[in-house]
Amino acid sequence: MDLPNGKGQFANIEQTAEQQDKMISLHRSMYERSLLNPFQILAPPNLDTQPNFPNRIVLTQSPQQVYIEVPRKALYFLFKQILISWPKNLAGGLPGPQLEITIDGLDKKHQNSSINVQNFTSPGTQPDPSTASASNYFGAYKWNTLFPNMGVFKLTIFGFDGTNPAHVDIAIIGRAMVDRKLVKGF
Amino acid sequence: MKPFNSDQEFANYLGELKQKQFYKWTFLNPLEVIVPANDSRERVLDIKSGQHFQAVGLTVSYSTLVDDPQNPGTTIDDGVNRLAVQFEDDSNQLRLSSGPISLELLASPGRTLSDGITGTASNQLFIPLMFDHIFGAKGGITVNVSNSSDVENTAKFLWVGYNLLDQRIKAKNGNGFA
Repeated sequence: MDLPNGKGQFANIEQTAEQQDKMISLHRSMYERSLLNPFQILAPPNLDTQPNFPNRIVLTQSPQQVYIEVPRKALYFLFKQILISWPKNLAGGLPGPQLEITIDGLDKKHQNSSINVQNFTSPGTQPDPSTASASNYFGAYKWNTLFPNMGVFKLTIFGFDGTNPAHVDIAIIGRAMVDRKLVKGF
Repeated sequence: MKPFNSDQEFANYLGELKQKQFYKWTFLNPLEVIVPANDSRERVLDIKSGQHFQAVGLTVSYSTLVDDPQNPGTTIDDGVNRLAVQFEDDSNQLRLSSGPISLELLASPGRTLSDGITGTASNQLFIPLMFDHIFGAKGGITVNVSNSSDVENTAKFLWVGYNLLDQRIKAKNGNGFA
């Protein structure tokens, strides 16, 4: 549907034809550039054992490695944010398993030491482990790092208290940097 | 605001303001997807011709209904999410996720309630999701939501961002640019 005369979002702007042409050209180039670095949400593969929870990883008592595939046609991946959810431990309202996550994009760890996911995903007040009080916090952590495409991100996850069922859901948000020649059918 | 030192400085300032008006902050129409039990539904949100849409953020809300295992036939809210979503950019058939993404991971990451375990709800709070992507003019956003619950659930999506003009506007009196 074309923009109608005198109406619509931009119609109250007074501008010359040259100004419109300039902005149209700029907006088109913005769109075309965006085709080369599309927004992507990456998650672990849909495990058959957890069909109702596609991004769920059941924890074990030994460190577990999870592989998240990077789109094949991406030359790089700009890792912008990691989303994590973990279960409420219902025994006394404890905050849940103490998770440690490291991410390898280049066969080198991008954290010098494992990080307690509860600390970096939920800044602010923490629930008191000794009480049953619920607390609301969010597992969204910015992690602005550019990785060359090595095929997968390897996450090593560890942390299981051994007494309660424990799992974690993970997704990665970022932008894939695509070879110009491969834009179609990405 | 400090006074302008010259007419040229003022003209430059006006020019910058006019440029900013070409980036109109906007909310797309909210998209509601009602998904039957153990099923999936696909809905499309159209992008207008003449304008690309630069998405900046996405807010999502969803229901967590299930058939009461203690009292079959009765619907209860147990606070456990059973919805997953996939997004696709229709202008270039680009999938924006590697697979289905659990809605509580997108909309309210953090602590979740465990399926099958009784206890108080985790009081999930919904937060806006960073969603930096330009959807092309005349295209659309396809949202496919799957529901693994044994009762119907609903998800709602609202994108916020700004429109990018890609087509000349015709002047009101006909003496315009086109």
